[in-house]
Amino acid sequence: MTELEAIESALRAAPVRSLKATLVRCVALLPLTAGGVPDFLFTSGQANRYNPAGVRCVYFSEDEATARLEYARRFGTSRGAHQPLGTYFAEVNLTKVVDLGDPATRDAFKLKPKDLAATWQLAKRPTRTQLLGLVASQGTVAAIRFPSDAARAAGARGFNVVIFRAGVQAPDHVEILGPTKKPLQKWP
Amino acid sequence: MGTALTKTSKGGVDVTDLMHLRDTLLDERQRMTLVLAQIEKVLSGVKVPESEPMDTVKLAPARTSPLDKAKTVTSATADLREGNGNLSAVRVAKLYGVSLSQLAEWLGRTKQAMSKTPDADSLQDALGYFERVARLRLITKDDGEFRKWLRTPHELLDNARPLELMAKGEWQAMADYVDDMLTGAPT
Repeated sequence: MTELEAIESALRAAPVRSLKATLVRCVALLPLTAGGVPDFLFTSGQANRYNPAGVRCVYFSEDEATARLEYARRFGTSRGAHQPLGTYFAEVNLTKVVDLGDPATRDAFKLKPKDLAATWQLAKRPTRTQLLGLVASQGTVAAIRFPSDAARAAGARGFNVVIFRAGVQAPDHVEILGPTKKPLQKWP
Repeated sequence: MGTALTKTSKGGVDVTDLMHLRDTLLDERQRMTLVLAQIEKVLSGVKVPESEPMDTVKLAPARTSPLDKAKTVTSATADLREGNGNLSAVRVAKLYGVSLSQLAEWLGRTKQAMSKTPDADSLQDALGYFERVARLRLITKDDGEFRKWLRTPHELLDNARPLELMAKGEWQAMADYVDDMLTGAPT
């Protein structure tokens, strides 16, 4: 059985939970507004910790402090750390979420702490967490909740959520909060 | 994939159609990524012959960036281009603080060929990666700080220096890394 097949098999049996929360993301204002109207649910398709390149997904943090740590990690003390920043919030209601904050769920995927903190930027092939995201992105689950590595590196504790476009089907939803009841953007 | 584009009353292409087409393409790319991962798993157990020399390999252009459409971002590297719009190897080498011979070696070319036509069409795909990394100048104080950044170990790159990684051909990874810095993608 290949690693990918093992993850597919584990995902079928792994515990899932629902998630109803307000999530947050911090991004540099410049690229956010570059196209005119901001695309808050823009999916770049670039690889990240829980997706290889080509997967449509968005990342949020569970709280603003974690979102800021994620944003600031690459900048350190450089000037870019102080450029204009955009913070926005998403109300999510998701039925099937893989929660890697739960030890039993991590065990189901045989994920060790080193897997959760692996350097994915230079990986020659998809990391274990990217393979998990790849399988999950096929519509099996809506999201994966996972510990923030930026928070860990800063000596704090926080969680992120990666939400897969293909997994968000009504009545599940992701809504970007605006000044009125009408969301600025939403999935599905 | 049966998406058809319709024309608006003014003769332009309908934006909604384009967005649907983009979504369809992204879905297809996601499907292909899954297939590719499965193929890579199979190939990981197969012994492959040594790779071809650099100068015979057809280099793919850098993957598109979410920032490609941001004029403010691309203007940060406008000075790397010649009047014809092509990137210049001489200008890239100067910005990176490396010799033209060094850059030529990284690109699998000879210094003579690069000196003769530093903005050759055949160099554009490769130089495109260097331009993507150089977009970091948008948030550095000056070119000196950019060169310092290139030579500083980075925790998220296993403490490697970006310039070392560029020398090793990790061009796409570095282009994505800078994109992620500029867009605040999580780590």
